[in-house]
Amino acid sequence: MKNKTKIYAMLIAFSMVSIFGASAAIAESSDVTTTWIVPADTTIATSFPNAQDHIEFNAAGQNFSDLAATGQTGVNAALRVTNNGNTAITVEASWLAEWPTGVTSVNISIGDNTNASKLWYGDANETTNQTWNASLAVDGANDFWFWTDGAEVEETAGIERTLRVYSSNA
Amino acid sequence: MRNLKKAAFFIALLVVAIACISVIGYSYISSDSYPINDNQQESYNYQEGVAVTPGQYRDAVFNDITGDYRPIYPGLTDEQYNEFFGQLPEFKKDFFQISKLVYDGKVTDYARLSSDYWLQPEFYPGWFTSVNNSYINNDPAMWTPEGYGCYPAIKEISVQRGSDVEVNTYFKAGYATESYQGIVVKPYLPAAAVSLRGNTLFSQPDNAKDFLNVHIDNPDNPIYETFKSEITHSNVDPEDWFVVLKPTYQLLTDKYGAVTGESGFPSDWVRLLKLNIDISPETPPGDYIVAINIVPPCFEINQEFYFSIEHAYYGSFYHPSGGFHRTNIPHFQVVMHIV
Repeated sequence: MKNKTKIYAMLIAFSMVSIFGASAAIAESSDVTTTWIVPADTTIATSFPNAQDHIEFNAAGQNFSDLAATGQTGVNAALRVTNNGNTAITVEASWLAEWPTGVTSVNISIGDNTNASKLWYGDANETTNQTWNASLAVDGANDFWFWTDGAEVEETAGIERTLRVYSSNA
Repeated sequence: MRNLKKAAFFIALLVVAIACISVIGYSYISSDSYPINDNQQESYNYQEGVAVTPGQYRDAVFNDITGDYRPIYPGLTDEQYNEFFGQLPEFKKDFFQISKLVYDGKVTDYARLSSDYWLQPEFYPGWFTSVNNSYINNDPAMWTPEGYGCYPAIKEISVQRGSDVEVNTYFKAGYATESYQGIVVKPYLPAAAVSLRGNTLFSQPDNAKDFLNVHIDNPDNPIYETFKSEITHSNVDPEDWFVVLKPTYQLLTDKYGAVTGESGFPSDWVRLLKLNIDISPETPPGDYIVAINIVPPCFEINQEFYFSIEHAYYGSFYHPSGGFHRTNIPHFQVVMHIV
């Protein structure tokens, strides 16, 4: 009986060693000591009208005025930026390259599809950052409607220009 | 009879052993092993007045619908609980105790923390303010192909020269993102460490690249592995990580396009990012910075995913993320005091 007790005790000890051993083996790193963390969450999401994954202007001819982005309606914006993180963010944007010749302006309405708070990009400042929202709150979502003007724009199957949206913590 | 007694004795011992292990194991993981934010000061002013909103940390209340301790969300139907959270682990009773320890920086060794915690959206501070618009009242007229981020954004560590260390953060899809997001995560040595506002905290030592080797050790996406040797160009370098984050929300439809239901979080919507840093024994002591950059996959990779007939769901909903929206700071920075 004495021997058997010893065996049981060894079994317990072995089990415990196994568990602790496993814990130590999966540690982040034994050589590193974390001294501070900043528990900010940087997650941001972007949405488009259904069937779109970019902002598109589809003109019927070479000249157009107040041409709305494809898919946007009175209710649905061409772009939505949602703050999924835990700090307010500043939203800015600019194009990475100049527009095709003939495109003269892009107007962006913020928050609703009226002229209440329009931003205007012209063909001289399309690559200059403009602030769209100085402080988009945690769980804030901002909708943006887009229109464009152009004259004698070359007809092509499509020319892409990257609109880069930047965010920073506000 | 004697054998029965022996068996009973053995079982009793086993129960005691398991109880001991559970209690000790729990306290080992949840104890204040890394008392950092309570009694130390950060080396730099990382936040510069930026308000970081904590999550919500609640008392455990049993949820009859889910059969665990998942919080109750007014407005969510029984069916939606299953659709949104059905693929996630059971929501543990001590969940909020653990998630607060992580938020407070008292548990920083993320690789040791069970994924039962960090796979829950409630683990992340922005969730409770996002659930209403993202899930309970999701806007069916808009679709969200892009959304991702890291938590936490900055870790400050102290480390010995000559060591190879792994530092972790949680890399996750955004809430209610509806595409399979192809993303290339690139570790690098930035010119400077920056605050949440984007201001320089300190400059990287000029010769840092001579002493530091950084690489992400998460395995690349398995579909990418099947074709990477056949494409003419790839922007995934050996030290990078190519990941495809799955949708965290989808409207399900039948063959006629009629909505039949919704889906929510897949079982791997968050990944533990393993940033490895090899530090030469010759490294001059001082402060260094390592970060990650997010870029979209190149054309050749994207095309393979669009063509991928075996994985039609990828072809339909694949989206190269990382090019449209940029944060002005890296999604994750590691500030290193090398001694």
